[in-house]
Amino acid sequence: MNVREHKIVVMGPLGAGKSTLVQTLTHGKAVVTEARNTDPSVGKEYTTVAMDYGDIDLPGGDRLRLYGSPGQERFSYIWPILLAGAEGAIVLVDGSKCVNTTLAGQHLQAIAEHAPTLPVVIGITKCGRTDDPILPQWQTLLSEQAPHLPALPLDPRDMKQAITAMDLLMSQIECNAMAAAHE
Amino acid sequence: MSEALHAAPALNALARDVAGIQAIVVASADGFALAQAGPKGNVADRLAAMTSSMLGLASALGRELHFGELDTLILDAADGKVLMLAIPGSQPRLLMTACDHSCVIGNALWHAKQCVRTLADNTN
Amino acid sequence: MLMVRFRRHPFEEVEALPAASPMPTATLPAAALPFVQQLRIHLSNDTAMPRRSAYAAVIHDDTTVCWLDTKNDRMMTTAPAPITLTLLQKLLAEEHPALSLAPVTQEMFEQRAKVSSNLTLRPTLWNIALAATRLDRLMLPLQMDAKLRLRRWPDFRILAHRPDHFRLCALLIKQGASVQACCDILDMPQRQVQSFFNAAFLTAYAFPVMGSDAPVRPSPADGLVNLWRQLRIRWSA
Repeated sequence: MNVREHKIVVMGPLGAGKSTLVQTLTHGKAVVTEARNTDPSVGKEYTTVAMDYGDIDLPGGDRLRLYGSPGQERFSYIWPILLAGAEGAIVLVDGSKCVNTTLAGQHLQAIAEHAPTLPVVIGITKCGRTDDPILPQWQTLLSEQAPHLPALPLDPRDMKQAITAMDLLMSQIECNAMAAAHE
Repeated sequence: MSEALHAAPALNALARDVAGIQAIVVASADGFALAQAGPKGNVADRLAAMTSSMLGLASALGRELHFGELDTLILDAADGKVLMLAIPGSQPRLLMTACDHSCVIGNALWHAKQCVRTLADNTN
Repeated sequence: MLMVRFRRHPFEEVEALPAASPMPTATLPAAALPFVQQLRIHLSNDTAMPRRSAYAAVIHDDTTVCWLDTKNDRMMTTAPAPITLTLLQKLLAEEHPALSLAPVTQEMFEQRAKVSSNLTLRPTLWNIALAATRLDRLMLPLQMDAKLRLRRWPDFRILAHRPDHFRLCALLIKQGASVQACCDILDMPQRQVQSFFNAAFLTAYAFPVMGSDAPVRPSPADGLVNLWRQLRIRWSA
């Protein structure tokens, strides 16, 4: 039986909700590698030091592997390892913080360097209400920095929203493949 | 840094007592370099992050297998060996020792464990 | 960043621009462009022609129907929102909408704007265009065989709860395609694609391109995307 593994990576800065997203999509069964945070400038108790890993069984026996990357810059050596062989990536950004491009920028940069044709979707977490008539700052920023990448607000604890983000990623994967087919 | 000063005697002793040690790093569990010794000490930051990743993964494996708390990880390579040990204490830390081929692993391990004991006792 | 090379060049919009003049009052300049074109130019904020002002009045029958604030992406109606929206939808469904756009200075806006409701601008325009869609044609000047391409990904608020819009965006951001091509490639109903075209065009997210429709290789049946979609069907069962 020819069973295949498919890989999706979740990237993004610390605290954006990567580990949470992986847990949500795998119904809480993901493996974590967390250590207690010793950086006083960061408000999180735990931080991922290697990766989160969970899988989803696909129809027909194939498997979808989900990897949550560590967000901190000192673990950036792992990002290319995780990205190798990935079919898509979700980049999560904390929407509640002051918009700081360098944080998500590093992660997008790593993808641009190591997996330039990888389909990517950006998820903005911790947005609060999204029916505010004033356009959030991050939307403006994203339109300037990454206009061709889809971005959507995403509560990583909510299965329905997590699935929507995956649906969007699948659309990207599909259309990238179509575009690549006639280059 | 007080951590570095506290650890210096123990690390220097380890480097002195065991032939073939290339680098020693004490790292926080979340991958910051706290103290270092040895000729390759200036890449301590990277080694600290990598050590924490390795031990993080090894701990996850240990949990999968219900083997209990992780103690020691030994990596065996063509041109050397790496020892990674957990340093118990209120603030979990890690000791990494990189040894070249001239090093006798049993000896290195024994001394590394002594070093861990010393560092654990000296927790602030 | 996604890097996709295209052999076709985007069709540059060569419509005549309104002559530079002092900010007009709420009357029409002599050779007015059709409203849809005026609006698209105003929303595009092309760096080659920097927008003189973020504010503009939308006028029907010599009355200001609403004010546009592109800086904050707001639409401010002069009557209660449902009345204004119904009117705009009716007018935009016509071949030649009886509307015009007049950019105004900030001072003029602050002096003259009587605001009944504040709405989001692009999402509102998008919805109006969807509702104003007719089966027999696209919004003029688009012809049925027009190919559109997206400049950039639309505001997320537009796409919320519209998964089929996602698929169209994902396709059209990479290549220009006609309504028929989108229907074939994505297996979507024509009505849905047409209304998307109108909305993307009116809000200036999309621009017309030339060239022939590229042949398309469908997703492999055993690829990740199709497996995921099968899984979704199972999950929702």
